Amino acid sequence: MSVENPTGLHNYPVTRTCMILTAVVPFLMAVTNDKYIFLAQYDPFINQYHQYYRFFIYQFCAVNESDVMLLLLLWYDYRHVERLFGSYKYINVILLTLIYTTGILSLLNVAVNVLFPAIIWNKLPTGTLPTVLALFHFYKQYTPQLYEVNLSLSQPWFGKSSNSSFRWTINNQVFLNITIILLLLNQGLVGIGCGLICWIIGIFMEKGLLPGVDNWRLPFLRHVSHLDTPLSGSSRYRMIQSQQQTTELDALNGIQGENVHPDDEAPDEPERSLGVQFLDTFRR
Amino acid sequence: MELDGNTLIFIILILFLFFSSPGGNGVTSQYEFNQLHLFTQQLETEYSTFQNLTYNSNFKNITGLKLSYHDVAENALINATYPIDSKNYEQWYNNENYLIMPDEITQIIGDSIWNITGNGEENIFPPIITSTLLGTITLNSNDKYSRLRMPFANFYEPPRDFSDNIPPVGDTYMDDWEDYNEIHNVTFAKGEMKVQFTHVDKVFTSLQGKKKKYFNSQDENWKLLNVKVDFTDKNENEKHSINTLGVYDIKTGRILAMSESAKFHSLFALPHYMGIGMTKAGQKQTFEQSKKLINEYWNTSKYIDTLTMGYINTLYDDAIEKCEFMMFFQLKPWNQYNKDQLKIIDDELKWPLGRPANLTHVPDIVVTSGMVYSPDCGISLSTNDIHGERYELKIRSIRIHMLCGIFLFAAQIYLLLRQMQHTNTPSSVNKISFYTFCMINLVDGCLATLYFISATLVPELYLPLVISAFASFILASIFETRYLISVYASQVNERNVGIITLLRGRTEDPDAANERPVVIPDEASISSSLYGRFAFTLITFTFLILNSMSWPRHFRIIFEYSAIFILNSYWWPQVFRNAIKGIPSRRERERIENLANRRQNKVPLLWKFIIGTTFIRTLPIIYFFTYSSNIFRHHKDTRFVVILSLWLLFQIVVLYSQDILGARWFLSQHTIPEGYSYFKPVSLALLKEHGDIDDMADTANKGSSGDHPHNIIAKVDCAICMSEVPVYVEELPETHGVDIHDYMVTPCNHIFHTLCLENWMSYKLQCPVCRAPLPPC
Repeated sequence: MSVENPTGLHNYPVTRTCMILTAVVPFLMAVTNDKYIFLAQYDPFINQYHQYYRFFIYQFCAVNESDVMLLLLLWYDYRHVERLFGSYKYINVILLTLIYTTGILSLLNVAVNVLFPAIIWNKLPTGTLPTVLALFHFYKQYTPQLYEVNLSLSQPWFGKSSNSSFRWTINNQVFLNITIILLLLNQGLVGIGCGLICWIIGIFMEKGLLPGVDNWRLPFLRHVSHLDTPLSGSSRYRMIQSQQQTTELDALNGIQGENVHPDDEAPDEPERSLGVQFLDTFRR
Repeated sequence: MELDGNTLIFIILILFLFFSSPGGNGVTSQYEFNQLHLFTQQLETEYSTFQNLTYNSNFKNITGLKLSYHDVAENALINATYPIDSKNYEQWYNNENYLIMPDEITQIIGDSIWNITGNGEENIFPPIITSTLLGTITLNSNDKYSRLRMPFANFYEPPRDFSDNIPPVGDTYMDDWEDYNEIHNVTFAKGEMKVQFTHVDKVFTSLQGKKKKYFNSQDENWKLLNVKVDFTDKNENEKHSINTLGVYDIKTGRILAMSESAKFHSLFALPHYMGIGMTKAGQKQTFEQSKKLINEYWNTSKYIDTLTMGYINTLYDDAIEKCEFMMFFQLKPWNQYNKDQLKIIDDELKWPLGRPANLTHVPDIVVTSGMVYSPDCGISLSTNDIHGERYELKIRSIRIHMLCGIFLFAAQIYLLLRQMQHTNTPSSVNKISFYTFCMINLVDGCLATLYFISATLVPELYLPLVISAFASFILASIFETRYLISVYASQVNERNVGIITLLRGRTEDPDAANERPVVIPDEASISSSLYGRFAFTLITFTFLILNSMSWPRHFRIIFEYSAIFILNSYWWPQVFRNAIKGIPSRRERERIENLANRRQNKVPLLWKFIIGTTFIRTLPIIYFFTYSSNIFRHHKDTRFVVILSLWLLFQIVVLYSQDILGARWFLSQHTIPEGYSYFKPVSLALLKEHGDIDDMADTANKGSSGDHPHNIIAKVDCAICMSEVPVYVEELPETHGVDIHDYMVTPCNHIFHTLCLENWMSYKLQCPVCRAPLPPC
C-alpha cells in the first residue's frame, strides 16, 4: 500500500458526490436567487415565521462563496476517510453525522432561546460546517500522521548566546487544520461555537455514546452501483496484506477472481469519461 | 520593454488626452462658463423666491410660472416679464387667475381624477411603486385652450462663433416662431402610454460623489419619484417622451409630475399644484410638506453646485422640441393589506429572506385615472387603464423565463452533440447542408450577443443573463461553428461546381475537371475564414436587430416577421442538399446488404435532432406571440404563429418524405442526371497508362488477336492494400468474369478495391494517389 493517497477523485464516489453537491447547489441557488432559504436563524424565521424546514436544509448550501471553497477543500481532504471506511460505510457515517448534528444543533438552539430569551444565539452556521467538524474527529482518529517538521525560529531579542529558540512542530495534517480553523473563523462566533459542539458530537459518535456508527446502514444504498464494492475496506486491506506474505501472485489472482468475471475481458481501450467523449466529437 | 523618446511622448500625449477631459461640470469654454454662471444665478434667485413662497402667495419670478391662464386668455401676446402690472402676487387660489391651466381642467382634476380623497385613514396606498405601467391615452382637445406663453432666457443658446464669450441677454418667445405648431402638438386621437416610476430616495451630494445619501425625512408620507412617460400613436409615428421628477403623496395616492425645461422650472410649482381640489387647510398642509420634501432634495443633492453643461443643454433642447406636460395620476388603493403587511411585502421584494409575504398575489400598481395637460401647447389628454406589476416581481418572472431558456440551450447542445456523433465521417458530414446550420448558428450567435449586452444593462439579472450568454455562446461559437467547419471542409470540393454538375456528381468535360483546385485548403484556414465570417455576420445582424427596435412600428413589424420567417426556414437547405446527394429511399437502404455501404447511405440528420431542434426553436416564438402578458410585452398574433408552425411542419414533412421515398422523389426521372458511378469497366487505354501492366497488356493484345487458351485476367495494384485488383476490361472478353462491383474507378482514373476505397472515403474525399477530389458515393 502506497504511503500517499492517490490524487484525484477516481474511485471516491462519495467524496465526489459531496464535492459536487457542495459546489453545484450554491451555484444553482445563486442563479435562481433562492439562497436565502438556507439561512437558519431563530429570530425571525423560527419564532416568528415558524419556518422549521430551515433547520433541516441549512446544511445543504453554504451561503458564502468562501465557505464553499473551504468546504470543497475539506471534503477533498476527507477522502482518506472514505478510503479507510469504504464508500458504503462512509456515506452512512456522513448521513448519520448529518442527522445528529442537525438534530442536536436545532434542539440546542431552540432550547437555549426558549430558556434564556436574553442570551441571543440566533444564527446557525451555513453549509456543511457541522457535519465536516464532526467528521474531523473521525479523520483525526483514523488517519495516521505521515511526517512532522520541526521549525525552530531563534528569537532575535535574546541575542545569539541564548539557546531558547522558538520551536514549532507541524505535521502533514497542518493544511487540513488550517482549513478547519479558517472555516470556523469565517463564520465568526457562530462558526466557532457550533463547530466545537459538532466536534464533540463526532467524538461521542466514535466512542459510541451516540450509537449507530458501526451498525446503522441504509439498505437501499447498497444497491447504488459504485457503492457496491468498497474501494479498500479495512478487511480487504488485511486480506491483501496476509496474502502478500504468502505469494503475491496468488493474492493478485484471488482478487481478480473475486472482482472480475472470468469471461469478462478487460476492454482494450480505457473507459472514456464524458469530457473525453465531448472532445472526441471534435477529433473525429 | 524599451522606451524610446517618441514612444514616451506618445504615451504622455495619450495620458494627457485622457486626463484633460472636462472635469465635473463639463465646462469647456469661457462661453459655457458664463452660461453656467447665469443659469446658477437664475436658479438661486428662483430658489430664494421659492423659499418665501407660502401656500397663500403667488409665484413671482419663477421661469414658466410668471403668467397665469387668465392673463393669456385676456391678452394672447402678453409680455411675461416680472413684475406684471395689476397681477396679484400676494394671494393664491386654485383658479385660472393663478394657475397655468383653465378652470375646466382644474375642475376635472378635482372631481374625477384626484377623487379618492376624504379621510386619508381609510385608503392604504403602496408606499413603494417602482414599476413600469402600460395603458392607453386619449386626446381630449388640442385646440380648445389658449396657449400659455413661456419664454426662455437667451443665455441657453449655444455660442454663435468661437470668439463669442458672453451669452446673449433677454428672453425668447417660441410661439412667435412660424413652425411652432407643427412640432408642438398632439395629433392622434388615441395612443399607447408607458409610465415608469422610480423612487429617488438617495442622491449624490457632489459631482464626483461616490456615496448616495438619504434626504427624505417624511419618507412615511411623501416620496420623490423619477417619472418617465412615453406616449405614441399606435403606429409610433408621433412620440412624446418626458423624463422628470414627480411627487407621490402616499396618504392620498396622488402623483404629480411636471416636465422640466429651460422654459418651465416645474420643481418649484409642485407644492401649489399638489393642493388642487383640497380645502384650504388641506392645501396648507400639503403645500408645506411637499415644499419641505423639495427643499430637502434641493439641499442634500446640492442642486446648485452639481449643475452640469449637459443638464443645461438638455433643458434647452427640451424647451425647443417639446411641449411641457403636467401629469396628474391617481393610484388605486391596496386596501386588502394593512401597513405591516405592506412593509413585509416591500422588505421581501427588496431583500428576499423568505418572510411570509405572499408574493404571487401582490396586485399590480394601477393608475385609476390620470390627466395630462400641456400649458404651453394647450393640449389636454386623459389616460385609461394604466397598470403594471412591481419592478422586482417583473425581474423575478424574467429570471424564471431565463432559466427555462438556459434549459432549452442545454437541450440544444445535447441534441447537437448526438447529431455530431451520428455523422462522424467526412462522407456523412458531406450530406449535411451548410446553410441549414448557418441559419441556426446565426440565431444562437445573436442571442449570445444580445444576452451579453443586456447583462451589462440589467444588474439585477446579471447572473442568469451571463449564464444564458455563456450557454448560447458555447452552442454557437464552439459546437455549431465547429460542426460548420467540418461540413465546409467536406464540401470544399464542390465549392465552384454548378448545381447540375453536383446532381450528376461529376464534371462533364475533362478540361473543367482540371480547373478544379487540386490544393484543398486545410481545416485551419477554413476555420479561420469561417470564424471571421461568423463574427462579421453576427455583429452586422445584431446591430440590425438593435437598430430595428427604434424603427417605427410598421417597419419594425415587417422586419421582425420576415426575419423570423426566413430564419425559420432552416430545413429547406437540407431538403435541397438531400436532393443533390440523392439519398435512396428507406426500402432501398434496407436492401443494401453491405454494412459499409449502409453506413454511408444513412440519413444525414437524426430525427431526434430535427424534431427537437424545431421544438426548441419554436417554443419561445410561440410564447411571445400567443401569451399576451409575456415578459417583453410583445403583441399577440396567433395567426402568425400558426402559419409559422405549419411552415415548419411542412418542412419536416418534406424531410420525412425524402427519408421514406428517396431524396429525389419530387424530381421527374429525366431531370435527374445520372450520378458518377465508381463501378464501371476499364478501358484498355487506361490500363496501358499504368506502367506496371505493360506485359499484361501485351498478353492481352495477343489474346485478342489470337484465341488464347489461358484464362487471362487483367490486374492493377490497389494503392491502399498493395495487392492486386482484377478489373473488367471492355475490350477483353476474357476479363468479363470479373464483377465490376469489386473495384472502384475514381474520376481521376485510379483503381482500388471497393472495400479499401470506401473505407478511405469515409475519412477523406480525396484520391489517395493524386489528391484529386472524389465525389462522395
